[in-house]
Amino acid sequence: MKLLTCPVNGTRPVSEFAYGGEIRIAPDPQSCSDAQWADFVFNRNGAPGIKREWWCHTPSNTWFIAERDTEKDRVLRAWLPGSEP
Amino acid sequence: MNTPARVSPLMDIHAARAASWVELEDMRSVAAFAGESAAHLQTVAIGDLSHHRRFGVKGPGAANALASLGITTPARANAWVTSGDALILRLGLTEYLVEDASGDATVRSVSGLPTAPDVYPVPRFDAALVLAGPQAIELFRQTCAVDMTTVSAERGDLVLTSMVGVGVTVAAVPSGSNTVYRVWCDGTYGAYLWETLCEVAQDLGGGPVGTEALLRAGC
Repeated sequence: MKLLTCPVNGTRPVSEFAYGGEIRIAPDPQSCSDAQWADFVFNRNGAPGIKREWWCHTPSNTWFIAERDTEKDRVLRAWLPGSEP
Repeated sequence: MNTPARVSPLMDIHAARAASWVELEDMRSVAAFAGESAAHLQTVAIGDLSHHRRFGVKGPGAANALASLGITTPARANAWVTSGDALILRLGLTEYLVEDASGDATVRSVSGLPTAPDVYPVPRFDAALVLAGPQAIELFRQTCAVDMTTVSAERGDLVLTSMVGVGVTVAAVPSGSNTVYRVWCDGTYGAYLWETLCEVAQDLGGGPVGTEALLRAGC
């Protein structure tokens, strides 16, 4: 059973969580080119590595950020938005 | 004929199995089920307590708003306390569920909280169940991933988890010298949760009980 630790609710099976995607910084829509905006909207980085992702503990609707090594599928740490350790 | 003002989310599923009815808190509730046995409370019994009035409030200012009404709130996340006759559950960091044991004084005061930019009302239409009996722990082992032996009624613990795929809030609550487990879920999932838990309880030698037996047991 894969486990994930919510900063508020503790360690639970991954079936209690929903993945919200990698945290990405949007380019400034006022100044970026169409190609840069299209790249942000349509393309994702699939290369394995350590990534920061949004996750939600669905029974409590708690959104948090997890740092995950997508190559080894290991969560390194997790925290609530605005309270990075 | 008076029509009850409130309807349990489990009304339809109870209709075929109820032996007698009673009106509690303006809600038609099952007093006793057909084939119900007092022995269910000695194994695992499931009851419907949806008739209790409840209301939610959340937001950064929710705790202060409740305090302004004289309502005590838990100091830590995922815990419950009693305030007067009401059960006050802190769900996560800034959300609260208030449930009256009888009458509706506390819930009425919370639902009448003035609008504030950091306080949001959360009307609740939960299916509210109670699991009682020594085999309740075994029922949890079969239906959810949290070890309920670590959830203490004395500490006022509650957990937000999923049971048979349904998001639930579970609170361990003392009942005499025993612990019973209150379970709240969204009302639209109530019938599925009730039927599934009843099947598991029947495999364990238990089953549903009505409000008369629950009141006698002090639930």
